[in-house]
Amino acid sequence: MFLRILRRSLTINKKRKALTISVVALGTGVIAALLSIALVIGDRLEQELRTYGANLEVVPAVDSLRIEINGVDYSNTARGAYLDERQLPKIKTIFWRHNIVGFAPFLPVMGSLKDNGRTISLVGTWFEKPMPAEDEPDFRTGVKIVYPYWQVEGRWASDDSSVSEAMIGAKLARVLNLANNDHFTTEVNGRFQRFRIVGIIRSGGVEENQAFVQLAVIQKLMNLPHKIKKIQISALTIPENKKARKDPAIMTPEEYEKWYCAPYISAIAYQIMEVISNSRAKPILQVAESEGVILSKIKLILLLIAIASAGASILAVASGMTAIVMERRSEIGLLKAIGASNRQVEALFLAEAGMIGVFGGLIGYGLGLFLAQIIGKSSFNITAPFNPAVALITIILAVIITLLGSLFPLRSVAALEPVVVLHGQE
Amino acid sequence: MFKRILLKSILRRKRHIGLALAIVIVGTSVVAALFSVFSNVDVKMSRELRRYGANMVVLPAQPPLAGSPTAESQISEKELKKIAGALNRPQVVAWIPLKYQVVVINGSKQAVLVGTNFENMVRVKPYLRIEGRLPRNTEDRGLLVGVEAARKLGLKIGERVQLGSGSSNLRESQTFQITGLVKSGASEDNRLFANLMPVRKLLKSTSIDVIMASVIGGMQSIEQLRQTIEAVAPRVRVEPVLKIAKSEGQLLNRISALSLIAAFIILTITTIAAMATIQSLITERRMEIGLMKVLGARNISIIALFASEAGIVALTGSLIGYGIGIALAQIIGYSAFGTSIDLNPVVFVTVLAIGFLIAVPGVPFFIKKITKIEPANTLRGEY
Repeated sequence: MFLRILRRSLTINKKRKALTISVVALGTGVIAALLSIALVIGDRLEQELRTYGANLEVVPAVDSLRIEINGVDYSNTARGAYLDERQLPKIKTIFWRHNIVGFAPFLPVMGSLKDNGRTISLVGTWFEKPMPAEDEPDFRTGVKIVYPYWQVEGRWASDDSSVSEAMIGAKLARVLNLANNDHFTTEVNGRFQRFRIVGIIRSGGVEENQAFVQLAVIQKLMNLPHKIKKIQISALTIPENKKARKDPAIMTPEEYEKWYCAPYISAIAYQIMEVISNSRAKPILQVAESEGVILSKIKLILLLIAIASAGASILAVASGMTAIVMERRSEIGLLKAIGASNRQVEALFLAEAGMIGVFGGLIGYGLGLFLAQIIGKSSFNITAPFNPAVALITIILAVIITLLGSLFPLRSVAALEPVVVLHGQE
Repeated sequence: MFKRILLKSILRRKRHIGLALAIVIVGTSVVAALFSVFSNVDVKMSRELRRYGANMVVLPAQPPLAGSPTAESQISEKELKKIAGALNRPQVVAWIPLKYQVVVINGSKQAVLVGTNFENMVRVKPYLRIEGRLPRNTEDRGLLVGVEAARKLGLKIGERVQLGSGSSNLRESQTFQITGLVKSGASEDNRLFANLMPVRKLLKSTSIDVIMASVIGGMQSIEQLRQTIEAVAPRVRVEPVLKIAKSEGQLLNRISALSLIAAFIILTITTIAAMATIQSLITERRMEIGLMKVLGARNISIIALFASEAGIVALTGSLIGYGIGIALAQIIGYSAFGTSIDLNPVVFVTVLAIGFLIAVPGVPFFIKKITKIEPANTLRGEY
C-alpha cells in the first residue's frame, strides 16, 4: 500500500517533481563544483606562486662574510669555501625530487673591462641546461626556470661554453652603452675573455647590475674547476606548521619521519644538505614565508565561497520542499481523513524527499563537474577530474538537504485538521 | 477595493508570504555578501600580497655599479624630500630610504652598513624575522645585525661596536650598540642596519642610494606613482620590482577571475532556485484567480494585484537580504583579511534587481497563465 502510494505520487504530477529535483540539483551543483575545484587548486596555486622565484638558497657551510651592494660583490671570491658543481644532479634524487621545479648554480667574480678598466660584476651560471633525472628524462634547469619573472630582450644565452655568450642586466648595459650582439672583453684573474651579448635582462632587482655568463667559462678563468659559490632552488612546498619549525635534532622518531616525508621547506632544505656536502640550505623568507600565508588566504576564500553557497543551497532546497508540502495540504488532509496516521504521512513524504534527493544529487554532481570545468579553465587553467568521493558526498548532501528541508514543514502535518484543510480554509 | 484585497491577501496568507519573503531574503543576502566580498577581493589580496615586500624602487639616474659613488649615482636630500611628498598617498603601504656603505667594524673586519628607517622597514619587508628589538627612535645609535654577519663577525645583542667609514682609521669611527638580529635567508643576513640619521653623520653625506616602496594596486598604481615622482624629481628613475610586481599582477588576475565566475554562477543558481520555488507557490493560487474572475475581476486588475504583492515581497525581502548580506560580508572580511569590506552602491542595486527577479518570476509567462485560466474548470479542480 505504502509503496503503491509512493509510486503513484512520484509518477503523477511530474512537473512539480521535476521542479523540486532541479532546485536540489542546482543547489548541490554549486557545492559539487566548488568541492571539485578545491581538491585540485592547491597544487596549481603552488605552481603559480613559483613565479616569485627561488625559495631556497644553498651556500657553503663555512665561508667568509659576503660584502655585496647592488649585486656587486666586494668580497674576494677567489678565497673561501665552495660547493661542488658535480653534486648538483643529486638534488633531483632526494625524497621530494618531484617538488624541485628547478635550480641554478652561481659563481660571481669581479672583472675589469679591457676598454676602460671599469669594474663589472660577472656571474657564472646555467641558463637552461638539460639535466636528465631518473624519472624526468627531459628535465632542464638554470636561471630561466628559477627566475621566470626576468624580462629578456633578445634571447637566453646558450650553455655551450664553446660560444661564450653573455646576458647583461639593463642598467649595466645602459652604463656601458652596450646592446645585443655587441662584444666586450674583460679581464678576470689576469686572463682576458671576450663575450658576445645575446640578451638584456630587466628585473627591477640586483640582476640588472650584473653580467651572466656560462659557469664553465668563469671556472676556467678563475682556475676553479667544478667550484660554485651558491645554488638557488625553486621548490614546491606546503606551509609549515608549528611542529615543522622544531629542530629536527630534538624531534621524536615519529615526528621526524612525519616531518621528513612532508614537503615543508625546512624538510626539503634538510634533504638537500644531506646530498650536497659541506653546505647550508636556508629558506629565502621573502618568498618561502609569504607563500604559505598567501596560499592559506586563497584557500580560506575558496572555503568561504563554498560555505556561503552551501548555506544558500540548503536554504533554497528547504524552502522548495516547504512550498511543496504546503501545496499538498489537501492531499495530506485526504490521507488523514481516510485513516492514515501522522507517522505514515510523514514516512511517505520523507521517502519521496529521499528519492528526490538522490536524483537531484546525481544531476547536481553532473552539473557541478561541468561548472567546475568552466570556473577552473577561466581562472587557473585547471581541469577538475571525475572524483567518486565528491560524487558520493554530493548525493549524500542532496539527500540530507532535502530531508532537512522536508522535516520543517512536516512538523505542521500533525497539526493539520483534515476537515479544515479539505474545506480549503487556511 | 484594490488596496483592501492586497492588504487582506498579504495579512491572511501569512504563511505563503512569509515563505516567499524568506526565499527572497536568502537569495539576496547570499548575492549581497558574495558580491561585496568579491568587489573587494583584488584590493584586499593586493594588500595581502604586500607580504612579499617592496614592489617599486626609486633609483638615481646612474646607479653605482662598482667603485665610489658620484653625485649622479645618489639621490640628494632635496630630491628625497620631494619624493617623500609624492609617496605620501594611501596606496603606498610604506617606503624606506636606503643608504649603503662598506664599513670597518672595530677597526678590523668589513661589512655592509645600511642606513634606513626601522619603523617602515618592518612594514616594507614584513617577512624579516627579528630577534631582540629594533633601535628606538630615528636618532638612536642602535644596530640591527644580520644573522650571518653576527655569526661570522662574532657579534652579540647588547654589544657595542665601533663603526668606521672606508678606512680602518679609528678616529673616524663612531659607537653603535647592537639591539637585535635580523634573518631573511637573503642579502639582509650579511648586513648591518642602523638609523639613517646616525649613518649620515658617520659617512658625512646626506644623500641616499635607493628608495624601496610597497604599493597596493599593482602595476597601474606603480605607473601613476612613477609619473608623479619623475615629475617632481626628474633626475631619478622609478621601476617596478618585476619579481614581485609581475607575479602579483598574474596572481591577482587569476583570483579575480575565479571569484567573478564563482559569484556569477552562485548568483544564477540562487536566482533560478528561488524563482522556481516562488513559481510553485503561484500555481497554487489558481482557485483564487478563478474565483476573482467569476466575481467579475478583469485580467488587468488581477495582474496588478499579484504584481504589487510580489513587489512588496521583493522590496522588503531585498532590503532585509542586503542587510544580512553585508553583515555576512563583514564576517568574511574579518576572518579572511582582518579588515572590513567596503560597501559598494552597485551591489545594492544588483541585490534589489535580483530581489525583483526572484519575486516576480517570468512576469510575461505569468500574465499569460492568468489570462488563460478558465474559472469554471479551475474551480472544479481541473488543470
